[in-house]
Amino acid sequence: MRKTTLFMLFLIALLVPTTPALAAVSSTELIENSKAYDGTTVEFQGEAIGDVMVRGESGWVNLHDGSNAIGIWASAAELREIRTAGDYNSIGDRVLVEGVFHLACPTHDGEFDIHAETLAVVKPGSRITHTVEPGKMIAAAILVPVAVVLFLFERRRRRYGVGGS
Amino acid sequence: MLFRPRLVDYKIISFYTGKLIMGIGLLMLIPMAISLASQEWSPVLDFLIGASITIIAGLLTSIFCRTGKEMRWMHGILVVPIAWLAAMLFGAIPHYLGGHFATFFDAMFDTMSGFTTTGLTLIRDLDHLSYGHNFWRHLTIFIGGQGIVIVMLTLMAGGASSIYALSVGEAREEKILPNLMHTARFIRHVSLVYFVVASGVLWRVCVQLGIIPLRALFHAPNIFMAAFDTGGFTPQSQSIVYYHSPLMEFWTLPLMLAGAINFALYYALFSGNKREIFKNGESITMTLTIFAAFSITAIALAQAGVFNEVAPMFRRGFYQMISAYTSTGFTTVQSHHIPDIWGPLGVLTLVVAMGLGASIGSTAGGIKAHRLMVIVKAFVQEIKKMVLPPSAITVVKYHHLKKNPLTEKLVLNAFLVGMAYIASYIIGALMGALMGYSLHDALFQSVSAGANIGISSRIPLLDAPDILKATYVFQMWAGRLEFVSVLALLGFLVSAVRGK
Repeated sequence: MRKTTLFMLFLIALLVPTTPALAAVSSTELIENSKAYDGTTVEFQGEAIGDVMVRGESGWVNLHDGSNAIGIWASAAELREIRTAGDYNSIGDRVLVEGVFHLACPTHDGEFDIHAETLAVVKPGSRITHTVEPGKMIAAAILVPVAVVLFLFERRRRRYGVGGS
Repeated sequence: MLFRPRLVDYKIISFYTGKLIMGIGLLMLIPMAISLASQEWSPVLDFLIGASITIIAGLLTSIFCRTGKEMRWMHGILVVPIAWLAAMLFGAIPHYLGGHFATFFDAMFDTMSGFTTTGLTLIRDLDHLSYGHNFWRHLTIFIGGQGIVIVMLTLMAGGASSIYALSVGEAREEKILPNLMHTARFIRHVSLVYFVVASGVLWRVCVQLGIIPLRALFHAPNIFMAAFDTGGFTPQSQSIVYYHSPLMEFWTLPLMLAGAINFALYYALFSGNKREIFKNGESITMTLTIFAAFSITAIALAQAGVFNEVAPMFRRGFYQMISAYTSTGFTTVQSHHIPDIWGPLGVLTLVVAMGLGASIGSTAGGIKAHRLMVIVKAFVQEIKKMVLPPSAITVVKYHHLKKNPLTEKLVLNAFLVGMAYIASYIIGALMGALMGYSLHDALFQSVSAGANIGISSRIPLLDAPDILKATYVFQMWAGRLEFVSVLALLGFLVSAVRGK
């Protein structure tokens, strides 16, 4: 009896369809095959860029995966998990979303977007240190005085009316 | 017989070009101040170096070529295309130093795209660009939209005849006021009033969209300059889609249209002549072509089965059509999608709308509604001549501020400039096709460049061959100047080589 039960359980385990883990898609893949992905659940990962735009209970963030950026519609609570959005001074948080992709979103008047079901920060953002190149400093130190002297010389010449040839 | 230009001709042209170069250098101090306020030290140096080189070059040119001789018509018309090339060269210096362009040529491409209010871009990693550099991109649009040479000359002294030649060269010759200097100042005042009011409104919109007030202060003026001067650059890489907002689209739509309206019409409205907008032949042509283009787009989108409902149809179809027609180039759809999703009819309509363009005397590109109206009326005149008895005198008129007769000179000019645009579109398309891209992608991109639109097709511009990029640079430059001064420059070069 025990053997039969185990065998039956084994058979059930084989027959029950397992949910495969979603493969992450790239923005290029979504753009080039948008009709095929339309309405399906996808996993997308990218850097949060610009502004996290919370509007009431939900809002938008744009994720850039290195090729293109895609708008993500998510709940305000999830969006508040994003601490850093990428700009000149920062690399934004790396965010992983799982959600429904729309080629022409019915809720948002035809937007090309993903409605996040889950959103997680997989790597926090960081500050970018911009070093000032010494070469630029030297160039500026030489060029700026030359430009100022020439400018003042020309202004003085015009003021005192030294004519042309 | 061709006459070889004399040394004094070169000196006059160089003297004024030098002054204009210096002006470009001084304008670089504005984004430098923004970088300084944002504590972006490396960009501060980029602009200091760029401004210094530009000012030194401009001053040395005008000092060495100083002459007491007055600028004549020929000189004026030649200064314009040369000054625009110089603006591209020097304006690209801070861009290149910023490190977001692969080559100096790519930086020049973007600078020309900005000055010509096109909006095509080769920038890399735009979303991490400094505030100062981003402002410079949009400022080039604002300066180019008003007319580089006119902006400078209203700030400098100049003779009336020379200014007229310069304004013809820059396709800004229409006299709204009796004096062209006053006309240029009127345009500047209108633009500045729009700048203050519309930037305030857009700032409020950005805050409502969830953008923090300080960041909104960065988005608002940039979006204003790109919309009103029909430029199409945006502070972020996704164009206007970035904001995911019908409110942003609602406010940028009238700004694009406002930028695409003839400044003479503004003056008529400000003078109390409100009926002019309903009688003006060009505005009627614009309204009819927009209506026709959108109707066909709506059919195409319905056939494609993508944006069937009213709201998506307006936000994706109508907005995109207005953006193309006004030569702005903002996108509310993934631009790579247009060929796939809109279908052949939608793409064709968009290409025609881009190629036609809006008003003369505005910041829009393309053939322009005025010329289309003149060409249509010329056909009407010819048909009348065929139908009526030979003794009948046919007089066809059009309304622009007053009733004007359709003269042969006007018709010839409209045909020639229209043909020049079409030739530019064809040459660009052939070049794209020669580089291995599909003919319809090549045609779309060529019209987008030649009519100063800025919507991209599936051609990956970043990886495109330099010869194709150079073709687009030429198309943007010649298209913005409406060919006359560019052809004059080519003629000048021929006479310099072959003249006696």
